[in-house]
Amino acid sequence: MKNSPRSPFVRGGLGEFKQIGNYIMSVIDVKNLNKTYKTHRKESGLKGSFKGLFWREAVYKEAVKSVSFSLEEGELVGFLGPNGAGKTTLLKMLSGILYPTSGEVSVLGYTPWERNRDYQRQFAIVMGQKNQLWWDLPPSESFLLNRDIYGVDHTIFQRAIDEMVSLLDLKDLLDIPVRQLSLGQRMKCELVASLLHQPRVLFLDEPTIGLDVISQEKIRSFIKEYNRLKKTTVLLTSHYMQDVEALCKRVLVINHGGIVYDGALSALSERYVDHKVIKIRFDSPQAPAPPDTLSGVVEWDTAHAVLKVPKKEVARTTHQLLSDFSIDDLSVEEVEIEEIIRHIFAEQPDGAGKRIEE
Amino acid sequence: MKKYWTVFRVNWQNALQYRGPTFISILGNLLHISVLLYLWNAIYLGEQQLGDYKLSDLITYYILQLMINSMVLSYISWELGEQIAEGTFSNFLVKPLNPLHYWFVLNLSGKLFEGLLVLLVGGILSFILINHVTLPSEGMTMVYFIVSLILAGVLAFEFDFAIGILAFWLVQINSFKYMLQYGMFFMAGALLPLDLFPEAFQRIAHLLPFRFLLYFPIQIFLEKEAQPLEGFITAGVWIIALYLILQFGLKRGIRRYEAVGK
Repeated sequence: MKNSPRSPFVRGGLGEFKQIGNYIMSVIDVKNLNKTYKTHRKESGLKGSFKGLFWREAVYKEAVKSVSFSLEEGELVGFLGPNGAGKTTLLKMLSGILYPTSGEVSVLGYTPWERNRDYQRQFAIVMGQKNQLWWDLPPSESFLLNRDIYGVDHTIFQRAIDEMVSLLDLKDLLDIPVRQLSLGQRMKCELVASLLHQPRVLFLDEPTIGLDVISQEKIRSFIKEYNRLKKTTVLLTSHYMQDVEALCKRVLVINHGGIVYDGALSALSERYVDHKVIKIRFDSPQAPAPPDTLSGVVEWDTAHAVLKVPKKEVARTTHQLLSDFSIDDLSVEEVEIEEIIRHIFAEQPDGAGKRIEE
Repeated sequence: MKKYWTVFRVNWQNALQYRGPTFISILGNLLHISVLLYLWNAIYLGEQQLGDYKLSDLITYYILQLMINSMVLSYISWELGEQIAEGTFSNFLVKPLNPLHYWFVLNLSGKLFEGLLVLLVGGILSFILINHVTLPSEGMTMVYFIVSLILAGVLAFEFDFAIGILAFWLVQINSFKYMLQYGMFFMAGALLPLDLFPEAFQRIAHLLPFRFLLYFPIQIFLEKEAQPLEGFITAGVWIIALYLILQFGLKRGIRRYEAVGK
């Protein structure tokens, strides 16, 4: 079990096999990946600038710390993490833009940072904040350019375009200069441009950033549909919970450079939350303050109450509530995933950002 | 190879979008040249000959300078530097493309486009000044001239690319770039023919490769260049040497880019 020493929440499964005959092979395999950035601290002001000419303090930032995971063909997995958690750094290493400080990565059998041409023809990365479309030309020109850069056959190209244009409602936009398109339309075109060569692996870095709700929804459903149709392996980062909830069964939660959770999105609450939420609506107005005998009250007014109760206590508390108060409606709910994530993100790192003097 | 042809074509489309600004910048250069011509006209009032140059030679020199400037000198370092600084350069690392070749083709297509426009302007200007310009006396001169222009174009691109990839190491290359470009143009003979300078300066300028950008082609056109073939060979050697240096520099730069991660 190559994954075993990492954490108790590791997903085992089919990633263990190599392709022999009809076995499923893991498409992405990351082992013990580390990336430490070296930057320099500069003291503020003119004096600091002058000092910096002769002596600079080196600061090492561990952007990614011993990360291991693997993805199977056709999986759609979400990377969740706050800004600066290391999501983008990871994707960049997987696509060969960055080389790691240490560790191993194999994507489709290639080491990304060797930048093998055969690897480049089989994957794509879309970064929500960086565009590849030619600003002053219609998207169709950028598509043609990518067609020839990747050497895509003309009929296959046309079929791919037609398919994606209808999935994304882009019909009348292909001949309008990119600068005149809205952010959402541009993002859709970026996706098309990146998928023309039918990559087997797709990395999406914040594909919905800055978009309105409708565009977000459209892009989400496109990614989902595309993954279903083409069996493309998709690794997606986002800090919008909705993206991940809508798309991914499996999530990798990353914080302070390390993976803190790898598993089913639905199982997140079991791992991290030991309580449930009880919501009640009273039949008749109650006292404005809860009785002392009741613990775990989050909200309380004369008509409503919300309680956070340890899972083991739920039955007992519910019973107590029902017998002590006249209740119109009572529900027991799981804590929202967004809140769980917020809780995970708020955890402090242990020994991150060590500073070494040079 | 097909992909680079498409790069050429797409960039040509892009240049078409900017035909207005390009034309205006050519007219701006024309104004600049006109002032110089006016000045030289005044200087020549009492003289027949300055150094090796008749007035008509100098008028030709500046008209050609204007045209070669547009057709040959590369300005891709602006965008290249910006892409490196902003991180869009990553596109070259994830796609099956060689950045050096890509930018070469991009520059070539831009220069051909601008060249066509400036040929028009320069042609009209020469026609107006037909009695005041020096034209080559034999056909072979034009062949040599065209060869020297091609060499100049490749060299100019290489220098400009070198300036652009400085962005891998420097946070801000613009002020540095201005300095280098002005130095380069000066040593190329953009302000004044190099042989009107003092002897010692001429010798230095002769050793440097920058004269191949403007001075050398114009000298060929004016039939003042004694050793065009030797010049071709020297320029060719520079081109190959710079190509190797650039490939190496690019590799080192990308190494650095990969480490920093933009």
